[in-house]
Amino acid sequence: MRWWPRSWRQFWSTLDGRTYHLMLGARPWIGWLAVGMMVVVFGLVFWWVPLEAIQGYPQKIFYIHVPSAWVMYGAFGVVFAASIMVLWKGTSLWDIFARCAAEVGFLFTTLTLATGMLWGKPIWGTFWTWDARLTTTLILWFIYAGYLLVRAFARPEANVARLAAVVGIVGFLDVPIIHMSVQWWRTLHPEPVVLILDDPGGGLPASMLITLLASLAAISLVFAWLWIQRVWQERTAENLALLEALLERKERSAR
Amino acid sequence: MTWYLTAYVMFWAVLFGYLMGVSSRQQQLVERAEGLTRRLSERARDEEGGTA
Repeated sequence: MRWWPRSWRQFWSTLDGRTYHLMLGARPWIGWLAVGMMVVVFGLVFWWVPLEAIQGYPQKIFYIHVPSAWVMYGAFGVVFAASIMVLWKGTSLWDIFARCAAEVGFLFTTLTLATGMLWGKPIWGTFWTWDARLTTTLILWFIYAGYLLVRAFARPEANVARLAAVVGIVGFLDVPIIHMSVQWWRTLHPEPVVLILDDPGGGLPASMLITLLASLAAISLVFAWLWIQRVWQERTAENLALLEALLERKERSAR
Repeated sequence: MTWYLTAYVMFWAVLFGYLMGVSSRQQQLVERAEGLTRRLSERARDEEGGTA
């Protein structure tokens, strides 16, 4: 049986279904890998990685703050791509991909802001300052809070998918602004320290880089598992609603 | 030390809380599917009774 599409038209028309089945197949593997990686990261952060000389213990927040922010970028990247597909193809599965990624992305935006505040207090002496990076991240939080609120309270008959897709695409424009904010404006938030391209000797020491990458892998896997799980739940709820409506119609006609 | 431990505890508490929310949605879906199965089987029984 051939599994590859006969044409580009067929590829695009079946892409959401293929992606969905691939995701469901990978879900248990992703879940167990996420648990394993989290245990590894726990060991690395609490026992292996050395204390940073200047900041001491508060610097360890870095290993959850930075991966949460990168996963937040990735999540809204998924919202952006799926929203384009909603406008182009109009299928409900792309809409489910987008809104579930927005929900889990919103969770990681909240975690990024909260861990940043708890890092800011001992280092800057304040939980919050209207710095460019913090402010643009807070704007992103509000954009996706609005996106999720509209979706949660819209009447079932209102077709909000296309409107939400536009918000998902426009909202994503804030992501590159957040990323570049530390270079475009003079900010309290530090500039990138992981890879410094114009200084080959610069950047993080190996032990910190390994811990950061392990944490990034673990948090990305947690995101992927939560997203797939939510997609499956929304898809199942949609199918159940369809069956309930069919049964109701049949019961009404039988009376 | 306090801030770093607070950040890790908060991080895990929020993730765990969200996971609990996902799990409770799962439970609601299971109950909904069970309700639908019950209604379908009642309907099938009625139809069988009607045709007998």
